[in-house]
Amino acid sequence: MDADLHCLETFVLLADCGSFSETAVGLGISQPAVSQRVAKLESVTGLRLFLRSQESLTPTREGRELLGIARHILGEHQRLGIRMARHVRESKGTVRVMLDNSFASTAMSTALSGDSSLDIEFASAGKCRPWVEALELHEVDLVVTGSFLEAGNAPSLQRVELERQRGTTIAWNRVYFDFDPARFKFLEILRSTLLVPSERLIPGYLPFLERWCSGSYGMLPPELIAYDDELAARDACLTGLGILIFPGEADLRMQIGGAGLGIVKTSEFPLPDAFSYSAYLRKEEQNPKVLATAAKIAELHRAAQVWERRLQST
Amino acid sequence: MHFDPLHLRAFTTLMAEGSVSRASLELRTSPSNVRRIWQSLEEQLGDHLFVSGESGEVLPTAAAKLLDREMSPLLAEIRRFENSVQRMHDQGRTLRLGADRNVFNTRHFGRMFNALRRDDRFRVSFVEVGEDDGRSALEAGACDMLFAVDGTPGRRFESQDLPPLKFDVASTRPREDGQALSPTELADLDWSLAAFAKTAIALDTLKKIEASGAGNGRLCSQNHFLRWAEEQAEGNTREAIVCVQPASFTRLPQVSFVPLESVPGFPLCATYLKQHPYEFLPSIARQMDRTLSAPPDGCRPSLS
Repeated sequence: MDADLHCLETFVLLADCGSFSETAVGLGISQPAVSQRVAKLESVTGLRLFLRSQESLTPTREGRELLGIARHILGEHQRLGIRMARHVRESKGTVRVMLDNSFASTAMSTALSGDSSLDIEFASAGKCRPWVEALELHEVDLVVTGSFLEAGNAPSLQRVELERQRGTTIAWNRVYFDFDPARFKFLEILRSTLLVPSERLIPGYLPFLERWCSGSYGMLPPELIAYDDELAARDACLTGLGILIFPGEADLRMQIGGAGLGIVKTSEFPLPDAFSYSAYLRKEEQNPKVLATAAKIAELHRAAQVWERRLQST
Repeated sequence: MHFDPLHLRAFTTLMAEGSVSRASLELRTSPSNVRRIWQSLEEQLGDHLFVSGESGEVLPTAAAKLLDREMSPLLAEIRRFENSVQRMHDQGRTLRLGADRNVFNTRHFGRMFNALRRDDRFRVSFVEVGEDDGRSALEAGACDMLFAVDGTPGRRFESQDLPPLKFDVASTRPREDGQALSPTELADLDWSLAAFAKTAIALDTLKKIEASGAGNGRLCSQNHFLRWAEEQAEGNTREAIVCVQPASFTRLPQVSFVPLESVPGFPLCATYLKQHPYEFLPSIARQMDRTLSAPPDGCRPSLS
C-alpha cells in the first residue's frame, strides 16, 4: 500500500482539468506541490504519466490506463469512509438526515433537534452528492425534500409523502412588473427573468419548465435563475430581481402572502398535485432508529400543518 | 467520514505486525507517532481498535476487524494498480530516443539503437527532434533521452559524453588501397567539412583539422554534402568532403569513403531529465558509452 492517495488524487484531478493552476486551487495546495506530487507518483511507478507541453497536458497511454484504476481507488477510499460512518451511526443509534433548504425543512430541523428521544446528525444538502445517490450509498439515512412529479422516485427508495400541492405559483414585485393578476397571461412573464427552484431544491421542476416553455411557447425566458434555497429565492422575488415561479402553494410555503406582491396561482399546467414534500428512505431499511425518525418526521409535519391552518384561519 | 491515507496505512501495518514497535519500524516512524494515529482513528470511529496485551502485543477488537474487512475493496484496487505498474515494467517501458535526423542517420546511432533494442527493460522507439527543439522535447516528455552533437544545456538535465562520431573522407578520387587518409594527404585536395551541428562546433572542428596539417578547407552543410554525393553537379570542382558517413543514402558509384586518421570526430552527448521517472537512464547512458567505445563487430563495411 505504497500508493499515496494524495498523489493519486492529484493525478486524477490534473488529468481531468489539464491545468496545474486549476488543480492547485481545487486541492487547496500550491502549484509546485501539484508538480511535486505528480513527479513523485511518476518516480514511484517508474512511468511517465503525462506528456507536458506549453499548451497542453495529456496523459500517456500508461497514464490513461492507471488513471482508470486510480479513480477506482479514490472511489473505494470514499466509500470506505461512508461505510465506516454508517457503522459508527448504527452502533451509536444516530440517524443522518438531509433536509432541503426550504422553509418547511428549517422548521422541521428545529423540531427534530428539540426532540430528545432522537439522535440526529444533519447533512447539509449543499455539500453532499445528489440526494438519491447519497441515500443509496448510505451517506445519509433519510432525506426530506420537495420534488416535482415523479422526480424523486427511484426503485431503491421508498417515499413517505408528507404533503401534496397542486398547480404552480407565480409571484412578482409590482413595482418592477406591472402585470394585472386578473388578466394574467403566461406569455408575458416569458419576457422577464424567472426565479426557479434548482434541481437540489425541487428536483424535476426546472427541466419540466424549460420543456414547457419551449414546447408551448417556442421560447425560453431571457434568464432562469435557479435557487438551492427557498429563502434566497423569496428575497430575490421581494427585491424585484425577477418573477418567482415555484410549483404548488409556494406563496404559503414561503410566507410571502403579506408582502403585497402580485400573485397568480395557475393550473394552466395540466398537472394536478404536481408538487410533493416527502421523506425518502431506502426500501430495504431495517434500522428501527431510521424508521422511528421517519415516523417522527411525518408526525411533526402533520402537527405543523394543523398549527399553520389554525394560524391562517385566525 | 474521511480517513487520512497515512492513518489507514498505519492501521493495516499495525494489524499485520501486532505490535506498535514493529509497526513503527515497518512504517519508518516513531512508536509514539503510531500510537497517536491509533488514538486518532479510535476517536474518529468512537470505539476501541486494539487492546494492549502482554509484552507490547496489541490485539484487534471487533471494530478493528470490521475496519480491516471494509478496507479490502480499497486494498484490492491498490493491488490492481500495483500489478498494472508491474506488468508495464515486465512488458518493457517505452524508451523514446530523440535525435536530429543527421545524428540518426549514422552507424554510430545504429549501434546504440541495436544495443538498446536487445534490453528487456524497455522497448525503444525513435523520435526525430529538430536541432533547436531538444530542450522542449526532453521537458515535455516527447523523448526520454536525446542524442546531440552539441549537447543540451539545462539545469534540469543530466548529460553523458559519448565517444565522438568519427570522420570519413568522401572522395571522387578512388584510392586503391582503401587505407585511412592522413590529414596531410587532405592538403592536396580541394576539401570541405560537412557540418551537421551548430556552426560553432563545426568551425572549431574545421580549425582542428586544418591545424593537423590539412591545409585549408571550407564548411558545407550535411544536405549539401548529400546532394554532392548523390548527384554531383556539373562544374562542382570539390574533390573531397570530410563527413560523418550516413548509414543509409544512395551515392554515386565514383564516390568512395575512407576513414580520416588522427582527427577526433564530432562530439556526441546523451541528455536526459535529472528527475526522469525511469531510474535506468544514467546506467544506460554509461552503457552506451561502453558500447560505442568497443570496436565495432567485424570490420568496417566495404567501401567500394
